[in-house]
Amino acid sequence: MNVLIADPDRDFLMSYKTLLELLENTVQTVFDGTQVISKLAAEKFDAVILNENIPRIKCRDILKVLKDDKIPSLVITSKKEKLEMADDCIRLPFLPHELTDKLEHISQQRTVNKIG
Amino acid sequence: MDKVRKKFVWYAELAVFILLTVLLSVINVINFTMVSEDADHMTEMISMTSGKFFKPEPEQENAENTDNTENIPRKKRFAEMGPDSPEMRASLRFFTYSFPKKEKDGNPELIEFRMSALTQSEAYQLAKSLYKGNATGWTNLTYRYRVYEKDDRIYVTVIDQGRELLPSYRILIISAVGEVLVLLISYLVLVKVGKSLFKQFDEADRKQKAFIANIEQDFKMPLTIISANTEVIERKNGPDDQTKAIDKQVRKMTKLVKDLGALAIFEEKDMTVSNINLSDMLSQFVESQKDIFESKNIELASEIAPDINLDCDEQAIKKVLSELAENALRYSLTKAAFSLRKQGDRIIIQQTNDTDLPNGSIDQIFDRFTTLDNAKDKNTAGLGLSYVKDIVKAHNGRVSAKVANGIFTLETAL
Repeated sequence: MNVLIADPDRDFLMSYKTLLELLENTVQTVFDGTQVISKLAAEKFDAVILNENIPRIKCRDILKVLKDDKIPSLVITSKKEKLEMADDCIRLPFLPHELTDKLEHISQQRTVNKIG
Repeated sequence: MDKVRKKFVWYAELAVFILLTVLLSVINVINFTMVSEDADHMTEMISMTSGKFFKPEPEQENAENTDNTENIPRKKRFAEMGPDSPEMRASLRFFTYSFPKKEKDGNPELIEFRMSALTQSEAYQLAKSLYKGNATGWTNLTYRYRVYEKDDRIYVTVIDQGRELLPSYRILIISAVGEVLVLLISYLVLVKVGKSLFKQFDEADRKQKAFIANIEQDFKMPLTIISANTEVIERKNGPDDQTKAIDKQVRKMTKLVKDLGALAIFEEKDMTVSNINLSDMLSQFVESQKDIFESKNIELASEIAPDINLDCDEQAIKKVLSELAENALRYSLTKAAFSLRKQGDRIIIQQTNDTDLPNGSIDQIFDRFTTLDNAKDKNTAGLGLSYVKDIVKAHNGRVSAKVANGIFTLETAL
């Protein structure tokens, strides 16, 4: 699976990049909104993990782009409410398996939808 | 907090009122009793001379001593002001009528009349209305009377105490007006003091909430990153005791921080109120909890009165129930129970379980960050019940908790 992680925290990017790569994914990381957009234009991703507080471009605008491109999105958030546009949300703090489970779930869901 | 402040003002005001009323009543009662006693003393003296004006005692002091007050004994000097003083006797206004014991035995007789506020016929009417039986007392608010028997006739002596009573009435009126004024002033002061006093509590409460929110915010990302890196290390090198220990602690902290986020603050303004059938909600809830309780070997019972409805926030009340259940799981020894009933116009949700806590009230469990030592699972921030309290208070309800004979009872009255 080709995954893009967008988060302003470099430690977070480093650790989840390593972890997801260990789980046999290819992972790209970016730390602001403009980079997300340019990455999306250059490459095709199977899923995007996006921090709600990504700088430069608003999360909802990025989500709109993702929705148009039909790329599954998992939003990292501090809020209780679920974001409408995202395929799924994960609330901080979370354990690694929570993220990997959700990631698997949204990409599977998308596959099912595609077949359907 | 606003309710607590109002309560404080109300109780303080009540205390001022009671204290002041008792004090002023005692002063006034003593004052009027003393005037009565003085008056009775004079009517008694008049009665000794059969209702006539008694003769002043002959002057005993000689001319040399009269202007030297030092030589007059103390007691006598004070008597100059009292009912025994010659001035008082000379200015005394009174009248005495005597009546025959039976009407046919003779006519009423005026013994002495030294009054200006009453005519003789008015005085007669007054005396006639008083003459049944030996007695002393007040009449028309100014006259002190004494009815007594002497030489087979009944005498009625009435003295005018208006002048002596005037200061007492003044004191009474000043007391009443003063009390009202003091209550008013103390109310204003208390409201002001209450505001500044409770401002500190409000501030402390606000700071505590901000603190919780900050901890939650600041701990979230680090915990997430630590857990991810622990996972990476375990996957690269295989799990060892160190990574297991880190993992365990991180899980524990993650749960605590999640609790903080979920439970820290219940905002009244977020409530959406609708009419909910509590009986159904609680029955379903207890049903859903049975397996969890069973797995921990705790017997779960319930006693739910049917058709109890309440205007409330459904999600919030569900949260209350799940917190109560979590609490029961954490502290029950062998059995726990939920009950729902109506008591007056209150709806009571009660959670009971057996416990080894000593008897007494334990309302501190509703404070933030409070956990008791007998908890089976210490993985808790101690926020659940404070959240319950916030929700119940937002619904204008009350919470209480007590232990009696090994049974813990937590009650929410909505």
